[in-house]
Amino acid sequence: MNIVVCVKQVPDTATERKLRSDDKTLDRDAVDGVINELDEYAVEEALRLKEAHGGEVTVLTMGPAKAADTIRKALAMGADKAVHLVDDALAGSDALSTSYALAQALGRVGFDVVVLGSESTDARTGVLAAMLAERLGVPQLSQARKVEVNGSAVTIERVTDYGYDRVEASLPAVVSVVEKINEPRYPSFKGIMAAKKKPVETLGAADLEADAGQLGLAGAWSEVVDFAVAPPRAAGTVVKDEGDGGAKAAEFLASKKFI
Amino acid sequence: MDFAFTDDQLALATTVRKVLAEHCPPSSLRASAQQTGARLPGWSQLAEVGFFGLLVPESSEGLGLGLVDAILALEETGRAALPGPVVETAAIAPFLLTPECLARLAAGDLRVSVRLGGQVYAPDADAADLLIIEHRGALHTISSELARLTPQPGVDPVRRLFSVAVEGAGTVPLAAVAPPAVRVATVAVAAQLIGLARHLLETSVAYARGRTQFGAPIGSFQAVKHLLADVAIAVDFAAPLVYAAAVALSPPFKLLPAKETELDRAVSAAKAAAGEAAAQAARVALQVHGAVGYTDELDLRYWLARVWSLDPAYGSAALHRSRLRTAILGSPELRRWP
Repeated sequence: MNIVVCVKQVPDTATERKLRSDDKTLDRDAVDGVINELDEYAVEEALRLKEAHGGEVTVLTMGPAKAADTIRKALAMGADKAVHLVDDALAGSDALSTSYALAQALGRVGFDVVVLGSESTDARTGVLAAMLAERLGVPQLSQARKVEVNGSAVTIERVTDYGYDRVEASLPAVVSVVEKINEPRYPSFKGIMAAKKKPVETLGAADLEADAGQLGLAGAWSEVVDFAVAPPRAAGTVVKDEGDGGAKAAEFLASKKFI
Repeated sequence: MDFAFTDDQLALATTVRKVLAEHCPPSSLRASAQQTGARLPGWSQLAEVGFFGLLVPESSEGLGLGLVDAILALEETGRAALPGPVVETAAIAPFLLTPECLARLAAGDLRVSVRLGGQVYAPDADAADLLIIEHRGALHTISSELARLTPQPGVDPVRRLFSVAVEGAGTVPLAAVAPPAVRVATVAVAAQLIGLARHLLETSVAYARGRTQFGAPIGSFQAVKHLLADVAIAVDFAAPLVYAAAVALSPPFKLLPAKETELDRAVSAAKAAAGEAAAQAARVALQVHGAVGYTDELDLRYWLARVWSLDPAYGSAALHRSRLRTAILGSPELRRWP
């Protein structure tokens, strides 16, 4: 089975993240990049699928040159090879253009199943899996907490507010996973040492045979017009209870239309 | 020449740090000390990632790396105050055991305690499957079932010390010789001391930021600030000596001439500096924490005790300083003034 897992390098969630003032995109140079946490679960699930059904796991990422660290982490966990989309023309892509670029790359790489984390910790749009499935013309199985492949069918348990749905589709398909699905493994020391020797293919925008007008900041459908730092929290109102505390609290809640 | 650690060496250390943060928390040290929980928390997870095969040759299914590749990972075991014969199993045994034992060692199925060099007791022998004992200049291995272990008083409730007596003829002589293994052990312990010191410093700095007195955090007072700054300096000066010694003991010995005396100098410099830095870190941590520092309820005691236990292991700072002096100045008798 040809398994492709999409990973993204995101700014470390433990650090303060900023937008750049010139093009209003995320400032990726100022902070350490780490693998998106949910993508670790996606890599783990891809490796488990490979262990159960054979085949090969390919890591696909789009990002600046330093995203190679994230690729190496996924390779150290046990993936077989990687494809790195890196090009200045891709910088500033929104979800639509990212899905376009990734779909073009997936068309080139080939796949039976594509595994993604259900969202990234930086943009948190959570729409990439759906867009990717639409562009590739294959079924989308989202929010999976369990994945099973049986012949040419893939079945998942999709997390919902009321429990879970059992969803089945035929391969090839796009699957996005939630953190309930597994416990990502630590990269083994052997894996870490071997990761450097695994093949990483670097693709530029030209290799994608894509319409350049749909890529990068210029091709993005959404635009950040302006941004501001979140205002500091205003001090709360203290109501001193002089026998009428309950009434005052109720009055306040009523004024905010809570009751 | 690039002295920085490689990405791989850093990645190995990061992995050990993450594994131990999850599987060897302070509560597990307490459980190990009071024998209410696992004696060796974190060991099976470390074995899974391949920690115990770092220095085992590739022919025995290890990774065949040098001490310099493992030194940061060993430092992390110190930072977490990982219980058990870590240095003995991961750093000494690979140099002494026969190939068939090494495969088990690399897989994490064999725990080894060691008594050699000037050591009197075998540390953590209760948690070991195999003992390597130096007796009258020759090395022997003994299955722990055949050895009679007597607990000895020690400062660390987790790193327990045992005297070893052998009942009957259960020992197997080893062809290997001790000196190279003792050097590696000494530097590995020095790395653990650096890790312990780093943890003690971080904990003390965090405490000094949070604890207030006279309406201000105690860390804002110069007397406290300077104590902590001195520890930071000592650790930052000791760590490179430990790393340099690790480089000197790692093949292909490019950086320092592999002359025995040069190696001993590098090792002694590392152990003396690391021991002194860690002892200083422990003393300052205790002082900064105040009376709460030596209570049983605070986890700090496990790091303090480990420093006091490892500082004299494989030679105290004073012993290694005197060796350095002899190595640099020659015999003290000849150099006495005037």
